[in-house]
Amino acid sequence: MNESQIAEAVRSAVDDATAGLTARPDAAQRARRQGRRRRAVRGLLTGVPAIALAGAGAAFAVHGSGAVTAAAPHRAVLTAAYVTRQAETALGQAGHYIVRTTKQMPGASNITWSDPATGNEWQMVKGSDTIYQWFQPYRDGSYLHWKITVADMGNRTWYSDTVRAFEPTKQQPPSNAAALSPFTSPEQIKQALSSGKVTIARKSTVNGQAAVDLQLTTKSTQLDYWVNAQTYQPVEMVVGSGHAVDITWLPKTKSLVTKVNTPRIPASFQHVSAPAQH
Amino acid sequence: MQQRGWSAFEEFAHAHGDSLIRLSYALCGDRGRAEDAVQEALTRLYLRWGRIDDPLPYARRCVINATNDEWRRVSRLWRRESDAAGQQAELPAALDDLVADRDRLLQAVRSLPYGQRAVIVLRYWHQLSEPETAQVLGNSVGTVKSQASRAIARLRQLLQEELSPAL
Repeated sequence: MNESQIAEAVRSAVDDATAGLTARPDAAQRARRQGRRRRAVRGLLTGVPAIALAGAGAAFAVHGSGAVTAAAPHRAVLTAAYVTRQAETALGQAGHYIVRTTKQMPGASNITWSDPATGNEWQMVKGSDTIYQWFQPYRDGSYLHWKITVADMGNRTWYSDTVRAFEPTKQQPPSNAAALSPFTSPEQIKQALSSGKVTIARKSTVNGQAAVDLQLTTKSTQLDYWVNAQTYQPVEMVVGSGHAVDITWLPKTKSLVTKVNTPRIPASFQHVSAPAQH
Repeated sequence: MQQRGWSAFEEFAHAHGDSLIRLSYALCGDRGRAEDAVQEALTRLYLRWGRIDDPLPYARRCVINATNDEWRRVSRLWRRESDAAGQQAELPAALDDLVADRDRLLQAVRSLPYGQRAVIVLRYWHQLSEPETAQVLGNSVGTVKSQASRAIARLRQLLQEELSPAL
């Protein structure tokens, strides 16, 4: 690749990755508040009597008009019902995003990009070799099926196959491979939240975000389901005592949608028959 | 704030806020950190507002510095946690020799040393000239050239063949 091709690739990649990112609408007001606070603190440190201003900065929000009003209080008590409701609302908007889940295991990692609108998934499994696979759901008779396309980067081969859900269902696509890996679809999580016993276990920072742990207990398992404390979008979940799964909601760019929904195989790969069993 | 008033600052933040947060995100890949870095940069800009001739290069420099500060802080914390767990800090995933997808390209960009990464993002994404990039970074044009050259050589190593759709 020459320099201009690399430049174009970088431009395109950064454009895609940053599409839809917007600054907070109140960024200027916050900058002014913080700036005033810092000036006040500097004044305090240099002996200027600015105690009143610093106090005001800590307790009040100064609006553009100059009027001083009490800042909106933080929600002191978050109830499980409230957070669950907000999380369900956020999950209902999952179709606007591509959901990336990352699972790290000793010696291996598994990254899945899902398009909740179509149910299609693109998965990268890294172990001794790297394998890419795409899952595309469709319905045939009473059963949901998934077309699977697998590319093995180690031996440079690829194949496609179909798998059928274990049991008949009335469910229609889009439905991602939730039957194969529970709690990965927004719909599954919504159902779990509404059917299990949910409590707020703790609050902490997860992946750099303030988050609330909704602990869901069912007959068969326990799920720690961390949601962003502001947007209530999922940020991490831990099923049972297993490994954590990090969740990132990515803006739905054209290239990302294509990547998830259209299997792409290197031209030089050899097409082989699917293994007898999955 | 004598020469340019509050409304001009607000207008500037409104006009360039999105581009600044994207710049930070391109450098660190984390939305929360990018928001924090841009907020910090706007605060620094607010404190200098009215005393700088051209606020955009200054704001970009603040974003780049604030992103690096935040990145260093988080990296230290992350390394400490990893060490405590007896694990080696994970490096960005090595590029597969057959895949040139964009997530991996971004990973490659983010695996560059911070200075080179900033040059690449400013030169090829913001499409600034070498002198403009040097102005934002507070470096000489020669430094920008050499950093860009090293970064391109590294990225060239990492980028591989295109993928074609499966039949």
